Amino acid sequence: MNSTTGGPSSSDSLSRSLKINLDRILQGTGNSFDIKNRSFHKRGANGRKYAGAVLHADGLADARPLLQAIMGCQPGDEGDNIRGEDDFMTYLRESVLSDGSIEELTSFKRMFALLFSGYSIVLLDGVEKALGVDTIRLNARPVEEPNVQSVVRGPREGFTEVLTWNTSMLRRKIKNPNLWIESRVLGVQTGTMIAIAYVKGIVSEDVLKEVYARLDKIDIDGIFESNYIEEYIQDKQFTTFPTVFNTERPDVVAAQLLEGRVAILVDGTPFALVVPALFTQFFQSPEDYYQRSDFGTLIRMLRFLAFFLAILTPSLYIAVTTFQHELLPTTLLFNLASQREGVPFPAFLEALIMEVTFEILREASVRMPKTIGQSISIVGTLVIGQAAVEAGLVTAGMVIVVSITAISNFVMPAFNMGISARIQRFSLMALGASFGLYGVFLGIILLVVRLCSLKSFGVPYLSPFAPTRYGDQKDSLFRFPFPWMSRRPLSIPTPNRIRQRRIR
Amino acid sequence: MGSAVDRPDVLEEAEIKLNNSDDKKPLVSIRAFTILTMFYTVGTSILITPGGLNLHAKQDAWIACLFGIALDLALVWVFSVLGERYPDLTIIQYSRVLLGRWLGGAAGLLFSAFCYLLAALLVADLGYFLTTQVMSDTPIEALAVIFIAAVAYTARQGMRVYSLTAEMLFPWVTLLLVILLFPVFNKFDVQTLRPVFEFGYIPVAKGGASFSMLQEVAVLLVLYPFVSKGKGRRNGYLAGTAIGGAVLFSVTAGSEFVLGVELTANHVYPSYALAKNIRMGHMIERVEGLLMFIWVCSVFIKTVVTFHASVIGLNQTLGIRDSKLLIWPLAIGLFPVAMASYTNIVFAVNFVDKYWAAYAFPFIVLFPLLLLCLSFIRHGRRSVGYDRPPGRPS
Repeated sequence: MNSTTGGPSSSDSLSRSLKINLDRILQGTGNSFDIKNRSFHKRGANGRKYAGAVLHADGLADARPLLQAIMGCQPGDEGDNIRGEDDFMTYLRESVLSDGSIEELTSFKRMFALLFSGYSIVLLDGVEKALGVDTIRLNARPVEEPNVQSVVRGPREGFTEVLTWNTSMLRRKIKNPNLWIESRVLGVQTGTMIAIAYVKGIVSEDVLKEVYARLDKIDIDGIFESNYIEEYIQDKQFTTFPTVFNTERPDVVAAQLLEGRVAILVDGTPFALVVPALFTQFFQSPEDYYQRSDFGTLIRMLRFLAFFLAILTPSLYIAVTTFQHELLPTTLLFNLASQREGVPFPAFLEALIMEVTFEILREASVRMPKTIGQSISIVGTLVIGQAAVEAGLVTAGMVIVVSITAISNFVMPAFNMGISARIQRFSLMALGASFGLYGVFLGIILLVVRLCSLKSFGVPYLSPFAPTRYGDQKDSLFRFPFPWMSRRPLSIPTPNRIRQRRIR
Repeated sequence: MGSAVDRPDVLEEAEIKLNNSDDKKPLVSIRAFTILTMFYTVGTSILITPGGLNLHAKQDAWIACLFGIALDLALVWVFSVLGERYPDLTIIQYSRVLLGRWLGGAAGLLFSAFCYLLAALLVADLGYFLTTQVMSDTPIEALAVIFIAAVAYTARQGMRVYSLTAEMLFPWVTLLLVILLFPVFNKFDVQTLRPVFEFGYIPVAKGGASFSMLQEVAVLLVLYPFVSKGKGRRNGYLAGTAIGGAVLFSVTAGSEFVLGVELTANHVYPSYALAKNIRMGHMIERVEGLLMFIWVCSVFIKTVVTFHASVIGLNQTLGIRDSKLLIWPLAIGLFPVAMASYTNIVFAVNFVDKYWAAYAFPFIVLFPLLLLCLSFIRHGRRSVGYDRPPGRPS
C-alpha cells in the first residue's frame, strides 16, 4: 500500500517529527497545489512552545472554523494540565475543536483517505499521532427531483452523488434501528465508498451472505457508477435482461428494503442497486403505489402490453406481411399490398432500415446539445416519417409500426429493461422474416426459456409467474389495495413473512 | 389442517421451505410437473388424434376418446405405483436393478433409443404439419433445423428451466385454447353424435386403444424421480394426464361438432381446420396463424422432454457423469433421423394410424408393466430406495 502513498519511508506510521510528516504528505501528493498547509505555533502556560500544522484539501474542506478555534485558544488558562505534546493534542481535541467528528490517526494510509474525503488533518510536532477533523464542505448537486424515474404523485426527492446524503434519505424514510447500513471501500485507485443497506430481521441471511461474498470478490481499479459493481455481482454475464435493479429514488429503495431486499449505494452516483431483482419489478413504478390500486393495476397491465408491443410488433408485422397474409382483413391487405408495390425492399429490410434509423435518432437526441434539440424533431417527423414514405423508400404502415414500437419502449419505467426489449426485437425480426409466425413463436418460447434460466441471487427471475406463487399475484401483474397485502412477497426469501395484520 | 388449507400462501410457503431446506433440491415442482405432463399428453396428439378417432369410430369418436383417456389414466396410475416404489430412480435405473446389469442395461438402451426415435418423429410431425398447412414453400429441413436447435438449447438448460418454461407458457396456451374452442359452443348439436355405437363396440375400443398409444406418458417415468416428493407427485402425474386428456377430448368433440364426422376424418390436422372456422363477427376471423402457438408450444415441450429423456437414459445406461456432454451430438443426429423417418405426409399419416400403436406398445406399456411385476416378485410390497442418488441431469 505504500506505493500508493508514495512516501520515502517504508513504514506507514507517522513519525514524531512534524517536518518529516509534512514532507512525506506533501511529497506523497506530489506537492499538489490543492493540498493546503497552514502551520501554527502556540505557547503554553509554562513557556513551552508547540509547533503544528493543519492540512486540508482545497475545495473539499472548509478549514477556517478549525483554524480560528486553534488560533484563538489560550492553553495558558488551563495551566498545569498540559505537560507535553501529547497533552496538548488531547487538549486540542477535547477543549478546542468544535467539529463533530474527530479521529486519531496513526497511519498515513488512513490519513490520506480522510484528507481526500474532506477532513482536515492536525499535526503536532513531537507527537506520533494526528487528528482528522471532519470539516467536509460538499460542493455537490443538491437533492433534486429524479429526472429519469419521475412520478405525477409521490415524493419528489432523488438520490444525489453524495453517499451520506443518500443514506440519510433512507434513514428518514425508515426510522428503525433495524435499518443497518454497512460500508465498504472498493476500487484500488479510487477508494470509493459503498454502503450496503438492509433491514435486519426482514432480510434473508442467505441473500446477505451472497451479496457480501460477491462484493468481496471485486478487485477493480476504479468505480464511477454503480454499474461497475452491477457487472461484478450479476448472476449471468451474457443476457440482455437486467438481473440487478437500479433506482435513483429513495422511496423505492426503502420500499424494497421492507420486502427483504438488499440495497447497495455507491458514492458518486445517484443510482442505487437493489437485489434480488425480479422480472416484474422492472414493470413497477412507484406511481403504482401512490395512486389508487385500481389505477395502479391498469397502468401496470398497460406496461406489460407495451413491453410485448415493443418486442413483437415489427417481427409480427414482418411475419404477417411476408408469410401469413390471411391474418389480415382483406381490405387492409389490399391497402398494404398496394403500398408495398412501390417499395423496392422486402419487409424485413424495410423494417431494419427504419428501426436502425430510429435507434440513431434516439441516440442522437440523448447525446446532442440541448440547444439543437429542435432540429432533431424536424428531421424525425418530416424527413424520416413523411418524406421517406413519399419518396417510396418505406411504406406508411412500417412507419406506424416503428412509431408504436418506439413509444412502447418508453413506457417501461426501468430504462435497462427497455434496452433489453430493443435488442431482443432485432433477433425476433430476423426469425419472423425467415420463418414467419412459426419463427416468431419459436423465438418467444426461447425467450421464455432464457428468462426461466435466469436467477437473481438465488431467486428465479420469472417468479412469481414461473414458479407460480399465488400469494404474490397480488403485487405483480395486479396491484391489490394495501390492506390486502398482509404478507411480504413469497418470491423474496425472508424470515419475517408477516407484513401487517390481516383485515377481516 | 383445516386452517392451513384456508390459507394457500401458508401451504405455499411450507412447500418453498421444503424445497429450499433440502440439499438435494428437487428440480421440478409438483405444479410444474403437472403442467409438463399436461403438455406432454397434448403434444402432437392435439394435431392428429381427432382425425384418427373419427376415421375409426365415426360419430362415436368422443366415446373412443373418453375410453382412450380412461386407458391413459389407468396406465398412469400403474406407472406411478412403479415410480413410487423407486422414488429416487429413473426407469432406466430400476430396470437395471430388476433385470440385472446386462439385460437391464440393454432394456434401458432400447428405451432410450425409443425416446430418441420418438423425439425425431415429433420433429418430423411438426415439420410436416407446418409445410403442408402453413408454410408450403419453406423446406422442411430448415424448419426442422431451427426446431432441433431450440430443443437442444432448452434441454441443455436443464429440467428446472424447461419445467418453469412450461409453467410460464401454460396460461397463454390455455387462453388460446379457449379461443380455439369458442366456436364449438354455439355449434353444439346432439344430432351429430347419433346414432351411438352404430358400428358396435369394436371400432370404438380400437380407436381408443390406438389413441392412448399416442400420448406415451411412460416416458415421463424418466423425469419422475426429479420431481419434489410427496403424495402430490403421483396426483400431479394423474392430474396432468387428465387435464391433457380433457383438452384432447374437447378438441376431438369440437372438430366433430364444427366440421362434422366426414370432414374431420378426412383432414390430416382437423384441429387446425377447426381453428380456421373461428369467426366472431367480422372482427376476429382467420386467426389460425396465431393459434399455431398452441401446437408449436405443446410439440416443443413434448420434444424437449422426450429428447432429454433419451439423453438421461443414455447417460445412465453408459454411466456418463457429464449430463450435458451428449446433448448437442445427439441433437445433431436427431436431424437426419427425423428427416429419414417419414418419406412423405401420406406415409406419416399411415404410419401413425396403422403401425405406431403396435410399435410403441412394448416400450410404453409392456416394459413398465414387466418391471412392475418383477418388482413385486423381487421386493415384495415395500418401496425401494437406492444407495446413491440418481445422476442429476442438471
